Amino acid sequence: MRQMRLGAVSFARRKGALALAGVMVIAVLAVALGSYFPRRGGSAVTREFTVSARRFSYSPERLLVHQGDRVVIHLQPLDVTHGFYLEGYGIQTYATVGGESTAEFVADKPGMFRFRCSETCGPLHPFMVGQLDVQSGTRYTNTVFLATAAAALMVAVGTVVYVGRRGRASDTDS
Amino acid sequence: MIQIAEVEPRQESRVNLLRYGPAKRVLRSRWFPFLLILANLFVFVLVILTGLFGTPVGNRNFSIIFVWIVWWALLIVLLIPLAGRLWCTMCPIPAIGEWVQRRGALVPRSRARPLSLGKEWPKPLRNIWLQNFSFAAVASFSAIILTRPKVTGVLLLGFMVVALGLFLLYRRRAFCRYVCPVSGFIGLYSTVAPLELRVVDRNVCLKHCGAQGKECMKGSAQGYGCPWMEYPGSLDRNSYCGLCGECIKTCPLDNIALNLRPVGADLLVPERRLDEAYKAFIMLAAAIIYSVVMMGPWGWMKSWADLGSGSPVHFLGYVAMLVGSMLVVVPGFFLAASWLGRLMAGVTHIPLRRLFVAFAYTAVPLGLAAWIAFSLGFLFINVSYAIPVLSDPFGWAWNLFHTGTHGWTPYVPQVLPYLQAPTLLVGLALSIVLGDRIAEECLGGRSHRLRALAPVAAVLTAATVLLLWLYLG
Ligand code: SF4
Ligand code: SF4
Ligand SMILES: [Cu+2]
Repeated sequence: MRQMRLGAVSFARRKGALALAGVMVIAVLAVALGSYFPRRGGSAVTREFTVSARRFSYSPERLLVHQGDRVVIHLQPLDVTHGFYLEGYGIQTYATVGGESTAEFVADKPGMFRFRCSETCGPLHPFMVGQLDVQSGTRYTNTVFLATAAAALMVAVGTVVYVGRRGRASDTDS
Repeated sequence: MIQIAEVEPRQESRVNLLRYGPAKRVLRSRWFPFLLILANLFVFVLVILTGLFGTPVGNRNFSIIFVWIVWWALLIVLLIPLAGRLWCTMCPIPAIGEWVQRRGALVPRSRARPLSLGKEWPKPLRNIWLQNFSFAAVASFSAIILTRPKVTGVLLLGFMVVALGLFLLYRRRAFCRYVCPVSGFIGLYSTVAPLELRVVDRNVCLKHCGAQGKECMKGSAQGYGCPWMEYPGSLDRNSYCGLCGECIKTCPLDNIALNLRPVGADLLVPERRLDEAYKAFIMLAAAIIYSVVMMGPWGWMKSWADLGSGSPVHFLGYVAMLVGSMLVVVPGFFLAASWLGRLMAGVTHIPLRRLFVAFAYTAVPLGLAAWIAFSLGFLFINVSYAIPVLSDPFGWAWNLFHTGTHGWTPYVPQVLPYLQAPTLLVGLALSIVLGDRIAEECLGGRSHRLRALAPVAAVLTAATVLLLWLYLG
């Protein structure tokens, strides 16, 4: 009897571990799918932004482009020297007050990418963040977020079903 | 040989690390955890000195980088999820106070009277409400604390002084148990960890009484009585055992176990308390608000949160938003979900408060996951600040290890979504599995439990999607 229970426990545990591994795989796949989502038509254009920087934010704080667009950003610090580092694209530049520097790149990866100040500019410098939204296709969608949110729904429903089965499968044991 | 019949059922899936001779020898030695504490005390003193006297530029100051990036990330990403209160084993904050109270640092002097008034902690405060408020208070000022070395230095020195004062007034580690602002969430999230300190056999404890018995509580020549005022024989959750190892040294019957165990086992123990429920809400709310303020692009929120440069009125607005989500908004969602679940499952005879308090624990796995995801975000981006700071802790242009000029280098930001999304989704899945068990526990059976669970699961899922949006959207 105890042997059986031990067996059942370790089986349940193994199943649980497998299920969790499954959740991780789903999440990773969702990010990958969102990141490499095939781009829907629409012609790429050049989008030019003048981004002013002031301790501790950028203006505009969010830049919206479409995947494939050529992006030109003019950085203009207003109070002290500020930098611009774009996560995921690895682009970096800085400019002094009154000056301007320009970053140019093709937004080939979809998703949300933070840009942050790379020149120490005061206490909240590490939190000086802006956001580049590279939306894939013509429907104004962030595919990385959509895919992971869908994965979250799947995982939630799947988990409820999973625990629901526990009721029926093990009703007989104590 | 262990006889299986003797083992309590819950120990089926436990592995007692103290069965391995070397592990036991180390943990029984008085050098453990003394040397760990000493090493951390050294770092801590450096943190206070650099905080007070070093450069005011946060990211060039050892205190800010090593406390709020290195220590914090280690704590939340590794120590708590893997080893629960292991930080408290080696924490330097109470060290001086404890040594003063004990009149010694290393060897127990069982006959020396403690240097303390030895008062009992007031009954109404024997819970973690004080820690809930101390955390909320520190959290309200976080934008200032995290960015001003002086404030960090004064704050940590303050913790140490308050701890010392409480050691002189009250018995044992009253500070850790009831006051420390980080203790509350370390305790709550340590319920998830796959490591626990328990007794091997409770019956051995029960029979071990009389003048010589219960050394774990009274202390002996081998060690001190439990500093956390716990009785190891009745431990069934990690929350309030500081993993200090004294009972491993004092138990003459070798009855203490340090077990590897299934993740989250403590969360199934049906001890549900309103103060812990609120701790769970407070932490989930703080993770969300911090993600919005610190990772988001909204500059106005940053200036509201930063009392140092913004206006006091705006700061009050920020505090209202933060504390309001901790104490009203997040608990409100859980209250509504519990109410709806109770209605849907047709169990209105069960007090709403009971369901509400119990379902609050479902916020523990997801909350911890949110904190891990949030902390990974700034760890990868900002940990490179630690390299120059090691060579130049005060920001005085020293170059001790020739790394003083190393620049800021964000590491692999493109990998972050691949870590954050799985972390959050695993947290969500664990939270829902736990919710199912809690529903069963409250409803006293399995029927209708999914209906009681559904609204809570919806709230958890919504919180997950919100966090995904903040990190990836
Ligand atoms: S409770 Fe606080 S002060 Fe005490 S050991 Fe833990 S972290 Fe340190
Ligand atoms: S139960 Fe043991 S390890 Fe835990 S705090 Fe008490 S003495 Fe220390
Ligand atoms: Cu800046």
